[in-house]
Amino acid sequence: MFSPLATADTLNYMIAGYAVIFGAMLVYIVSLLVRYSKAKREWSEWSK
Amino acid sequence: MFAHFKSYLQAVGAIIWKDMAAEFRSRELLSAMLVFALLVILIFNFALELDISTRSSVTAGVLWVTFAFAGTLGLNRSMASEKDRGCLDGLLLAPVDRSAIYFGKAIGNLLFMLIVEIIVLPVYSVLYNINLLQPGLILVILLGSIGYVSVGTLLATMAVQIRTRDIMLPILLFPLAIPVLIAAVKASDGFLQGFPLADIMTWLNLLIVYDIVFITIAFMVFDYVVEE
Amino acid sequence: MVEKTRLLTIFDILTFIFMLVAIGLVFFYAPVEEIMGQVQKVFYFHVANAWVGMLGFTVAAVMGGIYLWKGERKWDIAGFAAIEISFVFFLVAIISGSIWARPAWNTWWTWDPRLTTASIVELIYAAYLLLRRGVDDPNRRARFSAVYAIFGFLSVPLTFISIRLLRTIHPVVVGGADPSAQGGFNMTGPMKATFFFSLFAFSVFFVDLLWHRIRLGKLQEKIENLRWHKN
Repeated sequence: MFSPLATADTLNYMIAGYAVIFGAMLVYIVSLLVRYSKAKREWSEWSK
Repeated sequence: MFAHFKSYLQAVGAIIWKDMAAEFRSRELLSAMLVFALLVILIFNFALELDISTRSSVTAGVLWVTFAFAGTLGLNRSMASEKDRGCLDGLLLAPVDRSAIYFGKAIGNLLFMLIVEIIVLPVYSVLYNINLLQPGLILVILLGSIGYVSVGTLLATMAVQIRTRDIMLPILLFPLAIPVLIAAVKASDGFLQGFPLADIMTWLNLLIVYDIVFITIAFMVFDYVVEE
Repeated sequence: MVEKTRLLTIFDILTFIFMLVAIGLVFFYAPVEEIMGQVQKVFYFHVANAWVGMLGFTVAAVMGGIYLWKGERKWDIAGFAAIEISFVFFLVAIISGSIWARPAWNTWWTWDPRLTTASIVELIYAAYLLLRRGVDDPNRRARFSAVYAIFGFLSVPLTFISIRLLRTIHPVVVGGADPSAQGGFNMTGPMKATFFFSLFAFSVFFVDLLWHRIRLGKLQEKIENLRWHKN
């Protein structure tokens, strides 16, 4: 995975890039979960 | 069949006439657009170094930014007055195809925009000592305005029914109008700098394609935008 | 109450597996690129995100068309879901692309045709989302969204062409880097495999998210209907 003979050490940029990618995906999935549980709660309240 | 088409044209004409007559009585819209356009040009004078050497290369851009902003103003006001005075409902009750409203409003908006442009051109020419009254440039202004107004009228019809009415139109319109603006600026620049027609044709073609495509789509979906 | 179907759970698991495999390929199978180093690996998921972003736009435009034709709310819910997901994915594509560009081309941004068009597309998504916020009546909101999605989608090819012509006829020198550089590296066999698998995994991921988002939308609609009837 880490080639000691790599010409340019761009590891930090790669980490930053993947942090953004995974971070955003995670945030979106979490937002879906949060919104869904909120909706479920509202649904059970309103169907009483 | 022909009678149907004739009444369609009459409806379109009636809408245009109504807007023109109302405007000539009050002249609110045109004066607002005109003053705004001149102010924008004034601001550009300070924002950009319009000295003689750079002037020729930025004129096309300055003109079209001005027209785009003034055009937005006109589009907004034109549709807003429709909604506020409840005219839209009246128009919708008329026994004519809804698209007549679209064409009527679009042509009306186009005329307003052209009037402003026709006044701005000589003023800019005088202020910056550059001859803008060239047939090539006028053609570009016509084609570009048609494209801008055909999308703008449809979007303004929507925007006016949205809460954040005034700010919504530019947000909706500008990303979609990019091809028009690019092509219009490049074509205008081409004519002003005296490039051979062959070079400018690409941009003119782009304008024509855009105009045709978007007028067609707007015409097809207009119904869905005014349904009550 | 919309129960999570068995099928959806299976799909979730599949998605997870595919994504895991894709990540494995990127970090353990694909070789490190010689010139750029590790950052090149961002490319795999960067392009996958962009691909999904555009795919979503297509889906939304089609959903919009079907909604206008049939008038059933479910198409609107699907269209909204597609745009929302595309907005996120495309934004990630743009930012990750920028992070990749910095060490690769020594600039955070270039105004090359693809990137410029990408930013315009992202703005169209944003405009769509703002449009929805500003309309309260669900039917009108659905109609307007559908119309704008269609208009927006159809404007993209023309926008791309016009910017492309702009940059070709008048070449622009941007920060010393060649704006038309395709990333400037050749893909070896394992790289290509990783690349295509990433595209595949992300497409599956998109469908999975879309499914979930539509589920959320349907539940929200049911609540709105219930609320409306009780008042």
